[in-house]
Amino acid sequence: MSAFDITEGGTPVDGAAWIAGGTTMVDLMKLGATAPSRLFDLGAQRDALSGISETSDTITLGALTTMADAAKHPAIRGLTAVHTALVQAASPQIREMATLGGNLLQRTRCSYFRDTRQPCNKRVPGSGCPAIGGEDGHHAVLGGSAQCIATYPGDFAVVCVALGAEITIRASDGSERKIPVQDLHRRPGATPHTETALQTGDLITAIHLPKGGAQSYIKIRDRASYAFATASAAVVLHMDGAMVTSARIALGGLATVPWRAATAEHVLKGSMIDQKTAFAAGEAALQDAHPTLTNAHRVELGIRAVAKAILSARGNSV
Amino acid sequence: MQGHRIEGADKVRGLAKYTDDLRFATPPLIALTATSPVARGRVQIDTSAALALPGTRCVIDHTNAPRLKRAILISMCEPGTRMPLQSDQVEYAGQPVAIVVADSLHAARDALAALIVTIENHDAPAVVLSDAENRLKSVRRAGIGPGAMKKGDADAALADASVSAEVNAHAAPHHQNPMEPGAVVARWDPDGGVTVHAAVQWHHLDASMIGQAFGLSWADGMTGLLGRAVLGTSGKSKVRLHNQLSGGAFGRNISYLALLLAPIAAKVAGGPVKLVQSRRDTFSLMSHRSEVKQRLRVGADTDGKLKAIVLEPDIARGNAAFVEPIGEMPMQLYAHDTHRLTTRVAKLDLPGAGWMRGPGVAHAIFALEQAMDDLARQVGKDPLDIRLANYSEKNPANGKSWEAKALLEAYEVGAAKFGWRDRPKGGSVRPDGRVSGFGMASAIDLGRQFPAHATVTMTKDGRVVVSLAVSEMGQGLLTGLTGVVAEMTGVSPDRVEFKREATKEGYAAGSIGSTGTYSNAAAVKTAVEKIIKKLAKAGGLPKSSKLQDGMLVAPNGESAAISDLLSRTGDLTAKGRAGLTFGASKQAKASFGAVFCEMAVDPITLDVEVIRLVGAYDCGRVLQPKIARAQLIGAMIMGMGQALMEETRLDRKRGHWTNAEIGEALVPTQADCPHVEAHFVGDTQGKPGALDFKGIAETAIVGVSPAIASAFADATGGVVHHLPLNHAARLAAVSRAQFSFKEAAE
Repeated sequence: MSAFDITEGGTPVDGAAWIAGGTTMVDLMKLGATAPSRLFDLGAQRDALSGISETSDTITLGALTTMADAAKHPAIRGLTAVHTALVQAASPQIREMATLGGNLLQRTRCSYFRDTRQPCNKRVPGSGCPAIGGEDGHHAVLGGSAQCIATYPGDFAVVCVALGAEITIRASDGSERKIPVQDLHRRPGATPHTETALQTGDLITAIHLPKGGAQSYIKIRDRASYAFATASAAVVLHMDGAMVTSARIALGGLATVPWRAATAEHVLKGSMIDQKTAFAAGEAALQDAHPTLTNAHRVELGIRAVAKAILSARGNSV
Repeated sequence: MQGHRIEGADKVRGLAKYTDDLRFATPPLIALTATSPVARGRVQIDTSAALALPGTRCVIDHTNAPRLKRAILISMCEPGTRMPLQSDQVEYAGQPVAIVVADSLHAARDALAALIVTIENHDAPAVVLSDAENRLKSVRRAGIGPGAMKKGDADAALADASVSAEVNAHAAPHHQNPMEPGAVVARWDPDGGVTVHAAVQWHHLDASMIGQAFGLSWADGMTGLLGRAVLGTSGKSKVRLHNQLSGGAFGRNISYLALLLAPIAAKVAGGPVKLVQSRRDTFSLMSHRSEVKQRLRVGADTDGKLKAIVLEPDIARGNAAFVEPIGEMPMQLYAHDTHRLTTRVAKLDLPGAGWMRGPGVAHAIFALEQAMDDLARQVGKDPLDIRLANYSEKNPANGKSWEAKALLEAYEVGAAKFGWRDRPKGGSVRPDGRVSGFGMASAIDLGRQFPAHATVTMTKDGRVVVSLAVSEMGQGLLTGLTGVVAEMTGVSPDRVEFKREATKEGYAAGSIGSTGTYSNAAAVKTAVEKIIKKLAKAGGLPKSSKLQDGMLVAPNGESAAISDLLSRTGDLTAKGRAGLTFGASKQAKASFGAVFCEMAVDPITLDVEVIRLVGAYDCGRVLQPKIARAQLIGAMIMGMGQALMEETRLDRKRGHWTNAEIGEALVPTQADCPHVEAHFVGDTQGKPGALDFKGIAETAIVGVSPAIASAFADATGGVVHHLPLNHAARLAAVSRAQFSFKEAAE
């Protein structure tokens, strides 16, 4: 970890960063994968930016609400997919520290990004991407570029995309704007070091979750706790009897960003759900995947995650 | 006392001292290791920026490191001729290329970050067996085990067999990853010797590695080591190795590089140095369990009785002599007429492989048990019945009788506790929609006694002091041995003192291969018997008298208080030795077990959950049931990790371990742990006056991975011959059409 300043007031400028729960930031600083010159501690704003409120159609969460506090709130328990994503993330200890806003900005677990002895276009722009053609078993099969195939690892953001959730962003000049979570993360393209639509000094202050719909989040991982998704799927269905009137589907663990699977949504719309349609939607969700020899199984796993999530969401609708 | 670890209270209070906790009158400088990011090439290091930092004391690389001599030990995971920092050649990723020494940990980290390490001309490495076909060489020996073996004409018997099965098993490499990353403190002494504090599993062995590398006195060399091991001589050793506690080890803390790097750093820095290992460092500065492929073919008659076992393992070897001893135990588990073992080894561009719990056998029995299941399917027998049909009263490899063998009881008790005979049909749907599978496997682990030399003193004030440099890694050896000594001497355990931390104490058998307790206990027993003779002489009692509750008691009931006898004789000291029994003993020794698994499989996602693991184990005499059971359960969970998730992945171009972090190299969490039962079978009391101990923990990792793979096959019809049985392996074994649709259709 290199030396840095930490302060409670003010707004980050270039080379500096906000710090909330610190569960990702401190980890990466210890590894040397990130080295902000100055940290702006959000502790003083915790009360103002924490808490959960609801209207008839929306639940609004302060961005500094911890994952643990959100998961135990009665309003969140009503959103099955959100609750599942929260309680299956990280470990109980980490969820007590980690904030929702910070969790949306969870950095990749790409091992080349985390190992400072290795080149990485995300960490050192232009240094190369050894993951491509390297050990890519856990890398993205969707949304990658010739510069980067690092997977977005989080769970909550995937559910937010499936819900059509929005975030409020406060800029350094104090102005506020709302964007869909779906527009927060950027595909790597030629600039994998630019990961989000946030500008320096921007702060996520709130997350707005639409209510309603039969929903489910399925996280497939290599062990029962404290593991990132190998493949995950969030599904929100609106049903008229047994027929799907609208569906929103997002994938996690498989793509460079929380991945909206619009093609799969079209497959479901107007259909009755059974195993066949569920798998057909899964296949549609993964039809644009670019697997390699070592991660090809994750396409099938993604299909299965989507199918399972659709069948579970239908089950949850009853 | 019974059931509580002697060091346990200190551990839960945070008072137990690990190497990194030690405080010294002269605080050591801090050293960190720079390692190569790639596997092949020549290293150049620009140290100027690091040296310019105010807290940096020195940087050591191949240009200024002391020249080391080769060190050859019996642990085989020592670096041998590949001593660290001796040349600019890089032979594996993660190889130490420099050490920074600084005033503090922070300063050392800054210095490490400021080093500019350049690796020139790195050509493509071979780090996995599939890239190393041309490096495979047939071997006569595979580490401590045989590489080639033959009994009859196995190929002809296989060809003639009514039923045959072939298993092509593959196991990924993985690391031991105990809790403690580890640190080594070194200080050169005025007489030219060196004092080293480190967590080790075998003090005297590793002291010899240091002594050989730095060319210290003969007493530290191979001659000195053999002298200590065989004769119990001490010589004038100049390596003073101190070992307090290890935060786990599992085979990793043997002959590791930091034991050399810290003395190198101390020598160049000119003062005491503590070399701290990061977790990432431990993946390449310490050993791992290597990748193994096995082609196993078995032939049987129509009853499933084995006629032939043909085992052809390909084993990866890294930059140490160690080879996973795959071929040793599979031929000793079941009765069979003929066998052939043909082993090939490929030297890969990897760190040295080494010991990990159940070395060789944990992989080997996985393949054998998969073949047994296949035979069972073919001849229409229950998996348990085919194992019973192939039960062997004697060691099938050499015809020797077993010292003790309660495998039949293990099958019976394990099956009864599990409810094996009444289990639901594999593939039946559970109330939650998942599908059930059931599997079982046998376990074996050969026992061998290693040399040990204990010095036991009974003092006038009623204490028993034992000088024996044993290692306590959390396995409970100290508590176990203290109990043994208390029992032999008739004093209360709190009056037993073990002097064990330094190499000035007696040569002990290492804490390896679940052999530490009985090897060392045998040495203590001999010493105590000598003391009894002296006491008996003093008291005019027969030599066959025993020590009980503070009394020396003759067979006829006549007795004398030990304190009275000692007040006449003064403190009594005696030396006792245990010899090596490495295949030379009249009887074969092994622990046995049977393990049963219930699994639930999600038909859509192929997520698996181990619901129950029930094991029954013949580990000989059980002196401390609580500790022994904890060892068994821990090892069963470790076996579950081996089965389902443990693998360290490699970048085939650059050659490095990619998931070299504790958050990415998965081991089971509490949430993964099923209902686990471990039962003891066999003669758990032991014969009067005999030790009758056998190994515990290593046995219980064996059999778990095949039982889990069997349960998966039972649930899904998908046979997986790859470890771990991760999603990739499961998806390859089970197609959607075969399983998911059929079973999930409510």
